[in-house]
Amino acid sequence: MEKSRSAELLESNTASRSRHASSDSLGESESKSSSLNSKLGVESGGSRSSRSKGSNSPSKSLCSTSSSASTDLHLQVQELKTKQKESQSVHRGDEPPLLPGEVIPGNLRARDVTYLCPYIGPVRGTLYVTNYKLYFKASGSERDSAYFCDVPLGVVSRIEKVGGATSRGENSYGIELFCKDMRNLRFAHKQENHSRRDVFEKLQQYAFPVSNKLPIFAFEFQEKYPVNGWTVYEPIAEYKRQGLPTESWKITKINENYELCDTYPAILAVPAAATDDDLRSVANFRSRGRIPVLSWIHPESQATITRCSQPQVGVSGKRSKDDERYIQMIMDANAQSHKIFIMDARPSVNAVANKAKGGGYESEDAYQNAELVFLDIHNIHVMRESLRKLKEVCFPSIDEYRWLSNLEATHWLEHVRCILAGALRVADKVESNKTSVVVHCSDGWDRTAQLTSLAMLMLDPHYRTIKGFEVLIEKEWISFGHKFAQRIGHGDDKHSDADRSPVFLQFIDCAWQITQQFPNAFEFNEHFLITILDHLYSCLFGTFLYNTEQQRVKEDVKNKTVSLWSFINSNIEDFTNPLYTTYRQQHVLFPVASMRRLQLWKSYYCRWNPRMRTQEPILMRSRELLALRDQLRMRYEDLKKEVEAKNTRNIGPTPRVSSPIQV
Amino acid sequence: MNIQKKKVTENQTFKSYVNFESGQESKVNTTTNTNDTGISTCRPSTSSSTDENDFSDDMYLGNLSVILPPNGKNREDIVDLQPKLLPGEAIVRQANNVLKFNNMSNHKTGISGALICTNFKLSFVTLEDYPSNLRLRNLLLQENDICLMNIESVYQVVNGRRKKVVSPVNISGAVEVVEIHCKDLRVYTFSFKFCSRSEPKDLLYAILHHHCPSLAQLLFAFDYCGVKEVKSVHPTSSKYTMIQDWEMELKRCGCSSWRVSLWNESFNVCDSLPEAFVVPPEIFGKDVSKLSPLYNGQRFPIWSWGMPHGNVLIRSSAVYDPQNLSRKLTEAIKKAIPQHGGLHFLNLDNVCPSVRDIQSSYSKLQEICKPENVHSYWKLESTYLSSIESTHWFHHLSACLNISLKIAECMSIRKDSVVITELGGRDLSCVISSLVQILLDPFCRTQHGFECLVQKEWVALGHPFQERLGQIKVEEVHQSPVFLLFLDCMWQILQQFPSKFEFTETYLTNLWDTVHISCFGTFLFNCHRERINVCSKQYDSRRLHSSWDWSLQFTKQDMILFKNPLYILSAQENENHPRPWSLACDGPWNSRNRPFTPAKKMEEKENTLLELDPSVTRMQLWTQCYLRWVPMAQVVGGGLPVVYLQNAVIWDEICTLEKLLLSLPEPANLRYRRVASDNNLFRSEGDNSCGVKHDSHIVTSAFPYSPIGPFDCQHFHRVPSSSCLLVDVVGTDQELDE
Repeated sequence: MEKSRSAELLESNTASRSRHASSDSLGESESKSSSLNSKLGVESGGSRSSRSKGSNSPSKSLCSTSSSASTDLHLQVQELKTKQKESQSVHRGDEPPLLPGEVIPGNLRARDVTYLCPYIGPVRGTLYVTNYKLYFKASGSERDSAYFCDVPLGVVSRIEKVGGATSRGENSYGIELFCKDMRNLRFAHKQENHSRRDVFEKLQQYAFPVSNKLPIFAFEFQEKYPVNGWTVYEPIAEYKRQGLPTESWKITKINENYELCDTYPAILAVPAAATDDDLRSVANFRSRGRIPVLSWIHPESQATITRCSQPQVGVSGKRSKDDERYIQMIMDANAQSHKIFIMDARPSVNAVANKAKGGGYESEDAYQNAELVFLDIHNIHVMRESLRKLKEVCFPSIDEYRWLSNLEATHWLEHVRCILAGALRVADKVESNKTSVVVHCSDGWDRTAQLTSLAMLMLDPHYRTIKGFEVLIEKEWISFGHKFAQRIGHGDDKHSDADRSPVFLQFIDCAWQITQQFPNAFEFNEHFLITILDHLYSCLFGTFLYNTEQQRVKEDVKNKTVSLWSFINSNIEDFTNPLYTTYRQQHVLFPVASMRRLQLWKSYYCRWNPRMRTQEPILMRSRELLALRDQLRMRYEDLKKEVEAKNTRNIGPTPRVSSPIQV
Repeated sequence: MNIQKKKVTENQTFKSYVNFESGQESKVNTTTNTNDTGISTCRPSTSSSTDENDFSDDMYLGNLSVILPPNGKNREDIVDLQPKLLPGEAIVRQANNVLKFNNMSNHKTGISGALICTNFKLSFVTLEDYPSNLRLRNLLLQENDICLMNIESVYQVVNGRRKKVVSPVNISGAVEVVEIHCKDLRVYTFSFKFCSRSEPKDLLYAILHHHCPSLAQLLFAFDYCGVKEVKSVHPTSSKYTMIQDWEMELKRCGCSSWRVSLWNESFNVCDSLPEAFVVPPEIFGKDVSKLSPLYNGQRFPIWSWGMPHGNVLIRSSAVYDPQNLSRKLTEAIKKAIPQHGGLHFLNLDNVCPSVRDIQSSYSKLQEICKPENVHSYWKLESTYLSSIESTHWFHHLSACLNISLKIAECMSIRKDSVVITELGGRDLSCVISSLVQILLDPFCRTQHGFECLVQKEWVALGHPFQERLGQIKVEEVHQSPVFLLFLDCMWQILQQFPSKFEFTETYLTNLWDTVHISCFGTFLFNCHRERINVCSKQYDSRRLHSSWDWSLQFTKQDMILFKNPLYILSAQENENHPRPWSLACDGPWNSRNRPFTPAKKMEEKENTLLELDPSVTRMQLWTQCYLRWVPMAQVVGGGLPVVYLQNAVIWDEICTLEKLLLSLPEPANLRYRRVASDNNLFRSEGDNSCGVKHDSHIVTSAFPYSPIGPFDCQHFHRVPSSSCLLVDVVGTDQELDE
């Protein structure tokens, strides 16, 4: 049933974009709509209930995910899910459903707007702009009326007017939105309605609140969740989990006031032998004071992963005795090896070039017992360009004939491979050679974060659980000062800012690649990763706002906004991988960093294209299989009880029942 | 039993597996004598199967010579290096002291043993302990056996350069290193450095002479069947050569108005069609004779499949003279199909890749999937995607799937009938016709149904297997892996519909492998007539073994790997279906005894069409088939097999629960009647071949195949992990007891 619809949709893209062809797909569909994508769904009873079930999950309307295996699921699973609650979101007629704290400023609604969908053709309807999202609801003919489109303004990177007073021709006058999540949207306005100016102004205002001195929506969002996500990561608890403090590692509060390093967290783990003066001296030598600190320690071998920024060697080849001693301390903290690896994430050319700017890399002469390795990962600008090309290849339409060579030309997968290979080397040195590794790039907040977090994901099964992954992000990315605000450009209208770069997206992509290679090693599913990415941009939650811990403390983010993890952990079932096995879990994962095993993450990058959807996701089927098993288990238990009850009544014991289950 | 044993000085591991990766950090070339103590326990297992030894007695005299220890430091041991021989198999040539290299180690590591050429296979027998991770063991071929028919080409390596050896004339100088390239994309490298002078050349002559005989009668299948009794009951009892077979098929499809013609008796009308085929009811014998000369190869258009509405799929070869197209036939067809339904003619030559396209595409794909060494593997990385694209293999897959989908839609939605025409009518017609049926007919998605389909569309209707696959010496221009293209299309559909098929990708891979095993008659001929002719000359045709008799190749345990645990869900959806667990219970091994049951009429349900997405972007590389021997491409402890195994465990539990539910006393079990029987499917394992570390089963993405390669040594100890997936250890017991 549902499949036929998607196929029709698909037909309508390629064969004809006529209204008629697409209209077939508008009909009764319910289950498909949720997978279709939440922003371009079909409103009917079924889809609504899947869009927001339970008071604590405005899941669909707030997170813009598609391809949500969990919501797609019907069949027995749903029978078993007895706790399906009715939708609580307020909804009157064509009005957009609003989140707590969401308003429609100026009660703005533009009627007679046409959404120019690249896949199903133009759809006419009404456009609303709230302080959180853009909402388009189709009106027009009956068939179209089921369409809606729901885009958090946070994902918008650029808004442009299309056409002017002299524009002729249908749909040539309107607004185009360029989004951070791999799509563009175009709305055509009727000139005579004069609706464009208002919409454009409101969009400019609320899509870029920071530029307009308005609060980011996360500070207005009033939703209450049963679980408080801000407590997911407690640095001390996490270090304790890793076994700290040990003989050779201590937890220090030297950075409590962010004075040693303003981009580091308050709590750091450093070699026990290092005095506070040592740390200050090392901070002077390391770029932006980002000294080598512990990221992860091997529970058995005590080999460690430490992270830092580049040493300020400069053209003159400066040295710091304290820094050299400090690296030696890190090496000495691991009794298993008399060697230490310094992994410089950059290509060696870039590392050399950095000397001119006062940076550089450790020379093996100065750092005895250290081996320096360059991992050849390119900088943020290269990655941004690569993603730009990828968007061109994926959206709106795909050149089927040259799909693979076009994909190759973006180099996106090549970069992903390179990062994975680097992380693999780190993990391999720690696990197989029992040698400690120091990781840095230039500043130690982009490539370094990718490498340490991915290596940790490979080494420590804890980070492969939902909460563990949240901790990993909170720790390696958020607390250690990955500049989310700058890299994403939250609420900022400078779309061509050179500081923007999809570094975190790339990390999530790498993580996804590992989940694809080890489908049963992760507690979370693809939907979890996509949700994280959606809210990386949405500005609904405070999790990814600001650049450093210091700023977050100053803005009191923890009290004034909601954590993404509150939402996720309150709806944890939606994000659980049915194949995850807890028993005898694989200890270390060594993914294959080879093109033969990497794929483009189509369900993220190509998700707006209805053609690119999987017919029958295998994970969904696995979940159904599990549901079937549970059903049988329940039935068996019930029958057994029934029989037992009967037997006790009749006092006629049946030997077969009481005998233990033989398997 | 008096197998003659000769004293052989065992040549100890003079170059055992050196962990070359860590070699950079630790010492290189550490010589290890790992199995000093283990020799007595791990002799070559000629005795693991008893029936083999009975006949190997007489043919095993004097084939072994004394192996001279190359470095004199070894102890003397009494061993015999014998290959496991099949009934009818005989040793032709043998070379001792051969080194088998690990391809991916740049010829640095190898194991020593004897290389023996028989009339069936090339067998490498070793006493050494080698890491093996092969889960699926073939009963006919050991891990280091190469069926002669599987050999695609032989290369001589001189000074690091490969030279193809086609005939003995090509052999230059002393034979030191030889590469054997197989049709299943395996590459074996042997070094004869330590052999006596004449041995390698003689062996090479033997290989060249036997691997591709000039006559089908010389193939091993004829020796094999002569000795071992062929079971009379085949899994596919219907071979679509007899009148009853087609009548049954007509009945199953609900096309009872069509008629089986026997006018082709003794193949006097058409060579490539079976003696019986289906024609429109108004066509009679004389019409067949009169009209068939109009068609290429005299292939009269035949009914191949139909739907309950009466619309049909017809296969035809090209018409010589389109102007003169028989109106009578067209009218006869039109009369036989429903009034409202249209009749479409589709010329596959215009829309499908040609046989030559497929061949050239595949040979490029082979290059990509068969890296010479580690270096060339990584060298390809940065251009891998565009290289894959430039083979056009995906485009060809997509084209075939697209056409099949169009036809299937046409037949199911519009209830139209389709005539597919192709110049020869024996290649792409087979592909498209089979795929259409897969997309529409749920019966074809069962293992039994699929085998019937292949038997019908490919074997009976005359796909020239012999020519296409180069089983005997034929001109290379005729070679083309059309059948593989079909299997790959099947795999793509499987990927898109993981729960709709009773069988797994492992089944498909095995089917492709089986095509290269010369024990069976099924895929050995160009058409049924040849089969009859060749067989009747000297042999009884029924005595050739059928490829569908899987029990000849695999144990019951292993055949479970053919079964898709998710199929249970499709069966749930459709009550008319056979319950997969009951299928699992009477087991694949029993399906042989299951009578062909046409009673399962195609359901009247409309919604059986699999609406796949045939676009190129959805095509993936069938890694299990193409990359399974490349260790660098394997995920250790991961990949799709993990999903499969996990589902299999759940499936097993479901079966157990079914059984328990049944075991509940009356009246409770009345409420739940379902057949379940013993199916602790994944519980036991019993193969114990020697020379293989058995504790070392690690699930890789190549499961149940696995390459031997660097990672074995590197990762064995480090990834204990996947032991949770060992199929004989299922952690459900405790869970259930709770």
